[in-house]
Order: sequence, then structure tokens, then C-alpha cells
Amino acid sequence: MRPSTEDLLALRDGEPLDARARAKIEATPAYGCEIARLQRMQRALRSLQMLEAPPEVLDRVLAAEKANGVVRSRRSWLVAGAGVAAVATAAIAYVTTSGGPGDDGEAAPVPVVAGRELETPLPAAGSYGALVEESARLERLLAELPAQSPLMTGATASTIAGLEDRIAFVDEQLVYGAARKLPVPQQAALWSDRVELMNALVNVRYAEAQSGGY
Amino acid sequence: MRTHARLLTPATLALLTSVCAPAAFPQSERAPAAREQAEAQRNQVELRRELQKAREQLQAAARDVARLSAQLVDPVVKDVTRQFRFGPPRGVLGVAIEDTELGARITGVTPNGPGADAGLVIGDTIVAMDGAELATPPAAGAARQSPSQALLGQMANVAPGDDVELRVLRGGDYRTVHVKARGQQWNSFLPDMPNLPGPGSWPDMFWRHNAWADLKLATLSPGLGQYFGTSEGLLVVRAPENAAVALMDGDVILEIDGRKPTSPEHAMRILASFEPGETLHIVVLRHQKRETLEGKVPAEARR
Repeated sequence: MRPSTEDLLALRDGEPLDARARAKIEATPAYGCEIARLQRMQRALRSLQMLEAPPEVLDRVLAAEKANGVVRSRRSWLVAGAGVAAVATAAIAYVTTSGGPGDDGEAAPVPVVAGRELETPLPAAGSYGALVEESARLERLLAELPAQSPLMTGATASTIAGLEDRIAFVDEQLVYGAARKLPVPQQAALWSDRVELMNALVNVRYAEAQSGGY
Repeated sequence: MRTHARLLTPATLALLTSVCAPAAFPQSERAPAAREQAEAQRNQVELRRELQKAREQLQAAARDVARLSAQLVDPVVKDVTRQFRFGPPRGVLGVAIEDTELGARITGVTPNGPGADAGLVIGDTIVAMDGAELATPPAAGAARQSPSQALLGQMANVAPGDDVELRVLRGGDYRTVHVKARGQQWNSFLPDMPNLPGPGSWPDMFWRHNAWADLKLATLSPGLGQYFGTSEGLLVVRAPENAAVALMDGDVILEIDGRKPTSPEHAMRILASFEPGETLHIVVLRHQKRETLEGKVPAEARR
């Protein structure tokens, strides 16, 4: 019996695995090599630097958009760019995990993004997986900031509390969305809101962190 | 005599020069140094002022981002609110989740929320809540429940303040995490819809505290607490000029209408719950004596 793609992915990601499947994989050198190759690829992908377009390119794109009567925020473009990167990453992951479509006559596996099978195509402007990943990155950034200053103005405290409460509200909507199978584009819209709020919170907290003490 | 005087004069001058010169030079050096120091201090003051201005602009921009983003997602929020009946207030865990075969995987942890306080992190998978597995085969004749549905179903019985025991899978290890559920804070975020509690106009509803904007609060350190004679409360470093309640610099806020503020953000959350015109009671420690201050929330507090 060959191990399934799910078994290989679980082993690669360090998730729990059925003991029989693990024994089978570990007993087969070819699988061990493949897992090692995937882990190397994973590390290499993680170490890729974030690329940003030169500012003049962004200005030209924004000017062209404005000329067309559509104005988007710089953030939207970054998120859209991150979306493209995520789709590319998912595509690479798909190729590396499947060894290429139809290589052994089996049905090609479904690409997995953030632990969920993509039942519907990614929304054009949403890119669900990229938004979830960006939100996680911002949470990590927030956690790395120095402890909050003990001294705060009412305006700052209100801003932070308002952002945190709004994020709590969006998170609860996402819980409902997961439980009631909200369509992916709608979930992506909620994630997009979460990313905007997290980004604003990180910025405010970072500015506050520059002046600690009483 | 005149010759003597002539002889004395250069000697006197030399003596004077030798005595005065060491003092005169440092003085002439000190003057520019003092000027430089004063200039540096002025620069520091100016820089601090500019930094504060930049912070205020950043906060205004953050509020704008939140407002615009909320408007953008408003149709989805309305849709979700219409589809899913939000029942009576219940406890929340402060996490975003998605379903996996093993349970509900955490995809987001609300900053400063109950899940964050309990140490939950992104990537954790909640496999059981209060002893009940989330990913279980359906009972005979029953529809299969997803882990997130099972979690939501169980949370319906959790009140704010309840302790929730979660069994969590992290990096291949199982652990038990206790989360103290909190209440929902967001009636004001719900879109203005009939038959729903607390229609509000987010974010104006929350960020309307003009009256409290210049209030400066500090969380008490143990040393400060000892000095003021209390282990809890918030120190008023700068009282607002036109506030509803006559706070003074040096007061320690112990209670706002019966609720004990634990941080400046918490204090603002409590103050935000008051409507203009409502009476507000704040218990403070002033000169180490408890006093209750009373005032009405001014109408101009609302933006």
C-alpha cells in the first residue's frame, strides 16, 4: 500500500500520523528522501525575501488606476501582491508535493492552502490564503513589540481598545463563517478587514513603544 | 614714583592676566557650551512635539483605516448577521478558527483577548472543549457536525467569566489550556438593522471620547502603588481640562461606576459605554482617601 499524499504532507508538516503509515514511510528510503527534499524546499521558500515594487512603479500604477476612475489604497495593492505570491507559492507547493500532474497515473492532489481544500476558486481581490498568512505575520509582529507603555493618553487608549474590539468582532464573525460554511470570497473579505485592523494596530502600538516609562 | 608706577603697571597687568586668564577662558568656553546645551534642549522639546504630532496623525490614520475598512466589509457583515442569528450574550474565546480533521485549527488570536491571555497561538488545534471531542463521528441518524459547529454549539452555554477547558494539539503534543471566556463587546459594531440589539454607528460610537482624549493615565507599578497606598487602580498623570468629572492630577481611579479599570484601554472601554447625559460615578484615591466623584457625560463627548 502506498502512503497517501495526505500522509506525506502530515509527516512533512510535523502533524500526527497513523503509526502504520509512519512505519511504512520510514521503512522506504525513497519516501524519506522525498520528505527531506520537501522540507528543504519549504525552508527555502520560507527564507525568500519579501519583494516590493520600486515606488515609481506603484505611483505609475496608481496614476493609471486614478485615470480609470478607480482608486485603491496602497495597502490593497500590497495585499493583492501578497495574494499573487501566495498563489505562486501554492502552485509551487502543488508541483513539489505531487511531483507534477499525472506523473504516476494517480489523480492529482488538490492544492491545500492554510489547511483547507480550495472548493471554490480564490476570489479575484481576496486571496484567502494570503490574507490569513498576512494576518498571522502581523500577529507575530505585534507579539514581538516591547511591552506596552504603562503611560497612555485617553486618545491612544481609545484607539487601541477600538481596534482590538473590532478585531474581536471580526474574529467572531469568522468563527460563525467557519461553522456555517460562509463562501470563501465573504470569508476573504472578513480576513481583509482583519488585516487592515491588525496593520493599524501594529503601527499605533509600534509608535507608542518608542516612548516607554512614566 | 611715576617710574615705579610704570614698572608696576606691566607687572600688575601680567599678574592680573595670569590670575584672571584661567577663569576668563573657561567662561568664554562655557558660554557657547551653555548655548549649545540650551539649543539641544530646545531641539529635544521640538522633536518631542513633532513626535507627538506624528503619533496623533498615525492614530487618526489608524481610525480612518478601521472606519473605511469597516464600510468596505459592511455588506458581508450585514449578510453574516442576517444569516446567523446572534443569540443572547455569551462568552467568547477570542480566536478565529477553521475546520480540520482533528478539530478546530486556530487561524487568528484576538490581540489582548481571552485566548491570547491563556496562551493560545496560531496553529493550535482545539480538539476538545470541556472534555467533549470536537471532531467526532455523528450519532446515529444525526447530521455530522464540523469541529467549528461543535465548538460554537458548546460556546452557547458559556457565560462571560466562565472557565473553559480546552484540549489543544500543538506541534504534535497535546496540552490543556484554560480560557476565561469574556463577554461580547461589540453590539456597537453590528450594522444598523431592525430587531438586533444595540444598533450603532461604528466607529463613531467608540471613538467619541473627545472629553477624555487628553486624559493621561498610568498603570500602577508595585512601587507607585505602595506610594499611593493601593495595589490597584490607574494613576491620573494629567487630568482632562473639560471632563465630566473633576479628576485631579495624582488621583488614583479605583472604580468607574462599580467597575475596576485594569488598564487605560479598559478605562476607555468603560467610559465609552456611557451615553451623553448619563451620570457617571468615579471612585478615586485622593491624598490616600477614597472619594466618589460625580458628573454628567457631556453631549459634546459624542463626535
